[in-house]
Amino acid sequence: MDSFVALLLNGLNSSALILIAALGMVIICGMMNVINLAHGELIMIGAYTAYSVTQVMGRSFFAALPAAFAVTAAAGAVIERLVVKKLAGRPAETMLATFGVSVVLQQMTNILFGAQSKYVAIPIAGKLAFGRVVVPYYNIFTVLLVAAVTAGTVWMLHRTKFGKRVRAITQNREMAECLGIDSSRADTLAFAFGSGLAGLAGALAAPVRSVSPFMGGPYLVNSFMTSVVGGVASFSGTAAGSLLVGESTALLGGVSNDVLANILVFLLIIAAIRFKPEGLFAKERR
Amino acid sequence: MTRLAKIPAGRYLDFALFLALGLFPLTGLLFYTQLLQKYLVFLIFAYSLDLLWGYAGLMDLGHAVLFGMGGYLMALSLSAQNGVPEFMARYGVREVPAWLAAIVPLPAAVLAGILIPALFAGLLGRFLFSSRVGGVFFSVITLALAQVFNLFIQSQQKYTGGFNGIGGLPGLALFGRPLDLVQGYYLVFAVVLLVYAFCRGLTASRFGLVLRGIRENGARLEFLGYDPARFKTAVFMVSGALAGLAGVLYVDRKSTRLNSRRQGQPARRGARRHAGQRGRQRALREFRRVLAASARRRSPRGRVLRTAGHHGRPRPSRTRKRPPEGEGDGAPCVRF
Amino acid sequence: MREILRTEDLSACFSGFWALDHVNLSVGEGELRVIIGPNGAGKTTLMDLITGKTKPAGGRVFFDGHDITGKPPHEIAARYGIGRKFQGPSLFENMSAAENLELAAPRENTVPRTFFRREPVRLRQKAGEVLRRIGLSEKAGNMACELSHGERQWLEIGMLMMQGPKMMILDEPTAGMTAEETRLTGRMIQRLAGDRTVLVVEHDMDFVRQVARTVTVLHMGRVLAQGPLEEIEKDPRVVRVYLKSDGREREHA
Repeated sequence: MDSFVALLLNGLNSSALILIAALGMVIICGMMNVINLAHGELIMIGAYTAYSVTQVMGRSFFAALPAAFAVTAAAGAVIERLVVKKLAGRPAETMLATFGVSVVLQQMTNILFGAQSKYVAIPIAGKLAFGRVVVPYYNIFTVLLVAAVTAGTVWMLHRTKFGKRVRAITQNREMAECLGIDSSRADTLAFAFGSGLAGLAGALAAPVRSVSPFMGGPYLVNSFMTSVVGGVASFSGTAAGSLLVGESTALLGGVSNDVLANILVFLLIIAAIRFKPEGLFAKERR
Repeated sequence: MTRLAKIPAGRYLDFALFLALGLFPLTGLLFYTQLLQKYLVFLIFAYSLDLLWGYAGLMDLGHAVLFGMGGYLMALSLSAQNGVPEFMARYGVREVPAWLAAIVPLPAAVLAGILIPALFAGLLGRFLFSSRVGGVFFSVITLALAQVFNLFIQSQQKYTGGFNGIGGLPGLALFGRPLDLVQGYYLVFAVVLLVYAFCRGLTASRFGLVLRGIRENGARLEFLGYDPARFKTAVFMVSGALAGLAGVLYVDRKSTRLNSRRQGQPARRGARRHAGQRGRQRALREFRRVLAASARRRSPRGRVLRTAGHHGRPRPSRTRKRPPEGEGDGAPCVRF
Repeated sequence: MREILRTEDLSACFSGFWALDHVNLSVGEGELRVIIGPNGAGKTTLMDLITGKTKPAGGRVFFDGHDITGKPPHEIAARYGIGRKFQGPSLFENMSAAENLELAAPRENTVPRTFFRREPVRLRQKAGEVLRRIGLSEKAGNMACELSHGERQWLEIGMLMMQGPKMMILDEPTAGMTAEETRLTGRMIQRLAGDRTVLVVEHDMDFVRQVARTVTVLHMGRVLAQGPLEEIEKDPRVVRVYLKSDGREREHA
């Protein structure tokens, strides 16, 4: 029973990481209908930024977090301007182009940093123990930070003018443009923001997961799966989706080995998508 | 009709390219011949992907999996020609497993390398296409499957060589006689021509018309009496078989890391491939290959690379029309 | 007149909203029935249910003596012979007009019948004939997306001609057309109807007057009224709900 609770709590950590990564993807996808296959590499950039800031420059991890957000957001803005904007309205070509970008990013990182996994120190050592359940402090920090960032994102989208503009563009781009909203600039900013979130995910994951040029793949798939499973409902759907994915991976990982758990979760989600493509939490549409 | 006037220009280009490719080994540049052979294999893979994506509009992000299946089956067969392969013995495998023994004879390996990916594609297709799983979902699911396959191969180290793959394989042989470099090249080239002819015939037939209809407006086709799921599964199977064939031919004298996900990438990148160490030469060959694969058809990628005059008159560029409201496949994106 | 289509208590529900509420409809063979009603009345939903695009929440649909409730669209189209023209129209955009028509041929629509098989000559001939009838002979090679809106509507009607179903469903065939195009379309549909059963969903009352005999009026998912056009136009319920602004002068109370 204790190990079950421990798995559940630590699964929360996985869910948090997945949530913040998926959030970025959902914003980009929802607003611009762009499937960004370089999303995993944006996460990787965030992780490498964390590595550079902490190990190479010797600064605190808490400086690495905003740095990761900023650097990845900048990278996202560049990608949006150079690649995505030119292919607006053509989702298949955009997908292919971002796929190319992902390969370029992977190899560039490979050239700059080498293929060896990098080590990033855990900023908050120690664990919290109640009874026989042990939860690392860092995990608690991650969950809290992700919750705060998610809440901040939702607040931004619903309370600020910028957020309103973004939502207007999502609902009806042409009308929004007629009303004077600069959709082009909003696109770049939203893409940058979504990328920044991905970078944050990467930075948070860096101390506890491997950091290599090719780490992005599983994150990409997880983000996709989560956004699809969560459905077109809202952020709560994405949150629920990430919880589902994170917890099931953790629980299954406790029963069998990690690799098998991953495989099983992927297969389960594939089945879920196939049987309920509109998402597990979606409402019916006319 | 107007269609007759469209064919010749593109066909001449194809003919010229194939002529050039056929005569290339005679230049004596053996290193580049071997390299070009590898790209010819990718050409077959590109044909298979174009059938699925260019014609039917199904973007399979995990197509490399089918390629990898063919490759692994062939590699395993080749490595087991003299009993238990070394990399397996290292993990304590004492006897050749039954499934491996079945594919040791080369014809069986080739057949397996073509049929098993086709079968897998068929089952996957039946499972996926019977629900209204549209374009984006299909791409995401196949992407996930690529990850799954990758993880699976790496976890079965005992039998697959895990991350390092299977190395030190002998070259291709025909009827027991090993082929030298040039002969190997021509074998692959011959297969390329056959695949080309096959794809041409298939896409020119009514089946090709239906595939394009699926790409343009799959939902509409249903109301005309077609079952799109059946057609999608059929083309997926054919595409899978061709991808497997490419995988089988890829395994020639290689001591490569047969890591499935990476293998698919070069073929998928197409014209966007960045120049490697051999720079321009490689890029040129890649460009020629993609040109050969796409120049003749009205596929989305082909439009990018098409030479003017393909249809007898230069076409103004035009963004492709989106499917009508309510009949699209419904991207999984949030409305918040 | 033999009844060819019947719906019994047909209902459709979307997240608690009843788009159709116990609709009972009966159409005779060879009839040309027009269905009118305000936006949101459920006309297109009714068509969706009949053609299999959506599954009903309740009730049944009978066609030509068979129960087709809940069957998949391709079966309803191929086996039972119901053809549909969409509000839209819905075409194969990046294919030529001729190809659009060739795709609409009946019987050549399963994998075995099409795999590696060339286009039968009679199909091409039939397509050419239909092109003439819809007035698009010169535009045979043009991509569907290059055609004008009216031409696109005609092309889809042409596809129905190729399909040759027992019953045709036309969803707003004159949407977006000029007066002249509307008249031409009306004539096309009347010729098309001939011996076939046709269901037309429409808004344009001039067009309705041109083609209709019996009219069914839908409102809020229910059949409000049904009968010959002259009666419907005078029916006070219909006038209140729908015919308030049909282009004719009306005095404001």
